[in-house]
Amino acid sequence: MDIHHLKETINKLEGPSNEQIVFYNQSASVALDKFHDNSEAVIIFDNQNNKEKMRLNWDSDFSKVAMAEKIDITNHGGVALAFFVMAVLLDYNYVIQSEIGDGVDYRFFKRVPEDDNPNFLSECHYIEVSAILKESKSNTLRKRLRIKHNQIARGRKSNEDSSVIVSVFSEPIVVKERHN
Amino acid sequence: MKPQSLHQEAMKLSFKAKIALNANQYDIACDLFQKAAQKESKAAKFYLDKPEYEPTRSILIRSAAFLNLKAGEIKKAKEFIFFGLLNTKDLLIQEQLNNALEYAITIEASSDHVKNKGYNYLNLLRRESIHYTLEPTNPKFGKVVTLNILRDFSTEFLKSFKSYATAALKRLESTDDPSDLNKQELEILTSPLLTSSSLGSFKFSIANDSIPRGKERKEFILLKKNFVTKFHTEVLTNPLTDEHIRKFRDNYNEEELNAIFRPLTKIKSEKSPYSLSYYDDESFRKVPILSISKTKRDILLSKLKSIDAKNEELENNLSHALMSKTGKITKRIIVKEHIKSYTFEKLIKEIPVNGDTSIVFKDDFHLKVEFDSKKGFTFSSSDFQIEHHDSEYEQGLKNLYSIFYDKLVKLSTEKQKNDIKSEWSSIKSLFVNLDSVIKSD
Repeated sequence: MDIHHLKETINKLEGPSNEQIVFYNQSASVALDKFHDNSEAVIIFDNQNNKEKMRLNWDSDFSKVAMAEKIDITNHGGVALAFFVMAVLLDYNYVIQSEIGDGVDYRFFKRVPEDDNPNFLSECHYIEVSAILKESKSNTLRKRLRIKHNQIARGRKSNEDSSVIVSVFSEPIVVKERHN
Repeated sequence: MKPQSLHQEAMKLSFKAKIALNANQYDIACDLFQKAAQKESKAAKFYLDKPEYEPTRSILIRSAAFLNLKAGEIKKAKEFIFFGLLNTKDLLIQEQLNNALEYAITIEASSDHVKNKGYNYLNLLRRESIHYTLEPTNPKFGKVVTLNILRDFSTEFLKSFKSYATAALKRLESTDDPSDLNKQELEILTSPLLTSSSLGSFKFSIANDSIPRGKERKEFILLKKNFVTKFHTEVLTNPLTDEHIRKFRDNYNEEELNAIFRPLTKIKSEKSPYSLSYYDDESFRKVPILSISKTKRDILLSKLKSIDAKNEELENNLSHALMSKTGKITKRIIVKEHIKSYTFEKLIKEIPVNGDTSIVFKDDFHLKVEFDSKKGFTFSSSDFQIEHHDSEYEQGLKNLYSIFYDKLVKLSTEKQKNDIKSEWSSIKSLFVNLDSVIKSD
């Protein structure tokens, strides 16, 4: 079984600042610590129904004072796990974010787009990210995946290279499904 | 110019701004959003005359619109919003820009305070909002809610919410006396904000103002933050299991329980003319708020009958009676007035004794009734020096009759005393059958 550490994302992913990746990783750590001891767990990465188990470690030794609400921890932690699978496991080493109403959206690249390419967002892999702390009767992984696919379908991105990544911290599991 | 580098710099600044915003550092956040907006605007303007660079063009236009909105640059934000709405073919981006336009218009029409905090304040409020829907149980007008329903709901909701907030603030101050509380803090805590609404089955969202104002104490800022959510979770949607009820009874006195839950028994009554639901943030599901069963209500409020009617009020209705040609009279209430205090005289003809006998007055007797929202009802007669307080009108009147009768018995037994003799004679003259009832008793 492979062994990984969440902080590997910092060296693998360019685009966001290290500060941002660390901040998201800390959110994921808080969410994972709720269900798993000793800052480690066997995590399942389900990529198009190909399930891979690995041991994931994370840092829990930091001040939790700045950690905000449960919903923020879940959202930011979900982004951290999406960054991890895209950068560390799938070799997408560059991400470009863009501003939307309640946050940002994410476009991943295997190679850094040329700086002088004006249409630099045309050859990307768009990711719709979501996360759940623990599944409930009404809030399931399957349902969340369906909601995220529907969100992609509503926009032009339905014709583009895109995926949804949904994580459940209690399991823990990260599911990546291609939209098209 | 390299728009990609500019865009990435803008996004790094935007992240720093969000961190500042989460730490309640609004001025720093605003400054960082402005710097981010300047860079993103420059990058986005590069694409205005370059339709061949889709999807980059639409994405950066949207990004510039939102960053300007977050920076409080409403005019600049609107320029990008309108350009995007006219030029992008991406349906999702169009929808997001329409939302951005709604925010921009709201901020423009807002008070100076909201303008200063701008988008981030509204966004924060909306993010922290609980989303409800109010639907009539009798679909007379389909699912459209009447203003009467809205008024009835908001009256009872606010009564319960304010009582809960007062109880929370009293605990923060370690006091039992509401007059010890800071009035300004109490007002802020008890004024949930309507953060969105829509017609038909009335969908609305509420949140608490959660940003620090002036020299507010840290403990108060923590209390007011998410207070609507606290009320929603701990009170409004509480399943009231035996364990929950036990905890409430342990932590709140009967007066507080009455003030918090009695209004909710109306909102959550099976006979209520409307039903209330909320939207679960995680599952995006509409969840009905369940009614309180009579058993639970009785357990929760069982000891409250003797409590003064604090937070109660009288309702004064002006009715219009209309007689049709067939002689049928229809009455409609045309004015409803809520009264906090009121004094009137009740004319009584008799004092019921033991259920089957009465001491009958020769003429109508004037009993003074005072209502005060903080004290309940006070029944009194200065002639007989009797007085009784009660939270319920009918029960209070019944008790007053009992006190009145006891007083008459007492006077009767003392009638041989010199100072009472003449008084007793004048008392007797007020009644038809005083001697016979008191003798026979």
